[in-house]
Amino acid sequence: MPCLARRPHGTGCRVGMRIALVCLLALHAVLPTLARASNLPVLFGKKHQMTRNVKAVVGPSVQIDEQGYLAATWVEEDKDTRTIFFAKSDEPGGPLGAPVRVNRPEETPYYRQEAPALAIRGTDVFVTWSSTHPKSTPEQPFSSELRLSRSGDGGKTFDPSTVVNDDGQAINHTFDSLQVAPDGAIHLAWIDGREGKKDPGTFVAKSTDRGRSISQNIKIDDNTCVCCRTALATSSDGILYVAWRKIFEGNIRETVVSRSTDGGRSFSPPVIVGHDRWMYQACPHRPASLGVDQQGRLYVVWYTEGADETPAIYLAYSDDQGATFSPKRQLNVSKGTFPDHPQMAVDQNGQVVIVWEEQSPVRREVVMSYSIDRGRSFSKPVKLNEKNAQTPTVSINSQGTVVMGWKEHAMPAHRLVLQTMRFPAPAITAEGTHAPAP
Amino acid sequence: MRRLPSMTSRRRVAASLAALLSVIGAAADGASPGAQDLFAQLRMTRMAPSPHSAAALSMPSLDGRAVRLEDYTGKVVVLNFWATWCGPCKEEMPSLARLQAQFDPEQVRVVTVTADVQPQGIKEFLRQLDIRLPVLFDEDQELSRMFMVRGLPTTVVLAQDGRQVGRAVGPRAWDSAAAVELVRHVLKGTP
Repeated sequence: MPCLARRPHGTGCRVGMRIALVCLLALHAVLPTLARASNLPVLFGKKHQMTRNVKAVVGPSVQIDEQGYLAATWVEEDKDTRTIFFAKSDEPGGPLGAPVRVNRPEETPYYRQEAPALAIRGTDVFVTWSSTHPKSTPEQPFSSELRLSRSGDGGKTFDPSTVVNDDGQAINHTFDSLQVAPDGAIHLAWIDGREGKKDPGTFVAKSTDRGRSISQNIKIDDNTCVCCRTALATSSDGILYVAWRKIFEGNIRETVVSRSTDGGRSFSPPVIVGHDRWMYQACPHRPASLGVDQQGRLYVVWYTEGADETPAIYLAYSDDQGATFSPKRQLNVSKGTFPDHPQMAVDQNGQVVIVWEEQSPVRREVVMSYSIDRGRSFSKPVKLNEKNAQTPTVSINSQGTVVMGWKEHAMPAHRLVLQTMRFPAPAITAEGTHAPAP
Repeated sequence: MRRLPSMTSRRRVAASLAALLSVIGAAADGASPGAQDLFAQLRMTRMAPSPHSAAALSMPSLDGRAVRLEDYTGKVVVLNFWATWCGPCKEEMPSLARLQAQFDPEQVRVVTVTADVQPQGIKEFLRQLDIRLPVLFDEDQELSRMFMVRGLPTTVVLAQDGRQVGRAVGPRAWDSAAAVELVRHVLKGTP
């Protein structure tokens, strides 16, 4: 049953009223900007922009390596041709260099709703994306293969891609995530309807030879929400976590997490993170995001509208490998906009950075909030963008240097924007938690 | 000195909220009981007729034309937002086509909108189902943002003057008696 069916007669307009109120309040909404956030205990670097004069841009996904080099991947569409690009900075914290094509001309990207996933380890660069399925037929027009592209020279060139899904069926294999574990294994997760059930399942695979071959696909679970991207994270001791949105009886949508302690060979039953009781018959199209600190605390950030249909972004954490979770903490504070699409990065000291969108009918902002006490408290959200912006993404390295990326509409062009930020050096407190050095 | 603008701003928000709530309340009170029942039956959010800024936005259509919502002024528009990866969207699409079949296209137009630009696949999908509804490509999701589309499918009903009068999130049986009657009510100008 859809959520509105539960509403007594006449009260179904609550959602509409909320949207109308957002339209009005958006005119009054004021978010602190970087210029007014100079008293924050973090240092912002230079903002880098790359303008792309193409019909459409999707992404970016960003990464920062241990030396502070920035990298990004995204999809461009121009003259009905889609291309996956990768670019890396030529200096730590510097602007992105010249974009390099990831897919071969004969490899046609299927999808332009989600950015490619990106992982970097040393000079190896891994990018996942969906290509139009070679067995696509008029009877199966919407079908795609999940592909892994690999560069062994730091992103200067990319090898022909490898097909990840092993079923060969002309169906969709999308909403992927990618993670390189401490042992070098590449883990992949995605949503896959190969069993022909009403709702698809969550599938995983891995590569132990730097992306040259892919293991047999494993199904973790059924009843996966068809359009909310999967998320992956690994702890320093090799525990692999997967998050996705699961559909429960009555169309209840919950963010769940499963863990593997044997390198991705088997997975625990999924555990509900927030117990949101969000009843929703439609496609939310909003992923969760994961991170793990050195003490093994697993952080989850996600979007839900909960039982009261209020759009919100929450964070919860687990100190027992995802068996139980802390009470959820709401992160969005703006009364004049709807929060959306949260993404998170966590460093080994438990410094957490979360970026998300704040939307209204007239504006689309990207904001950032961070925690320096392992998720116990968060800074007031700070607005990052100048033009209308969307699809924020974030990465952090072990030095506490952060890169945040998003797309801005600079009509008729599109802008990829990267903003770096640095945490102060952490110091271990008596409780074993971390706080900024004085 | 800094507090004054903030207080003023809060008062403006409060005053605007009060005004908006009174408009919505007045609209709800003034509606015919039959119309309220129809919205409730269809589990639609009934909205006080509200303007939007999307009328002049030009979007490419599947058949290669540039289309604006203002092109439909004078008609009731059932605007359906969908995507090719959205199962419930594809399931409800035939019922939208059957809804259109019950009305003169000069009076009622069912229009589909997608940000998922797969023209060839969409053509094949519609051909298989023998659906001839227009498809507009919301390439930068601008229309979706203007209508605050936050899940798919979302269907917005626009009155003849272009103002939105209702919205449904999630699939519906658009060829049901309640849906047909609701569109008739909007057509008569008694939403």
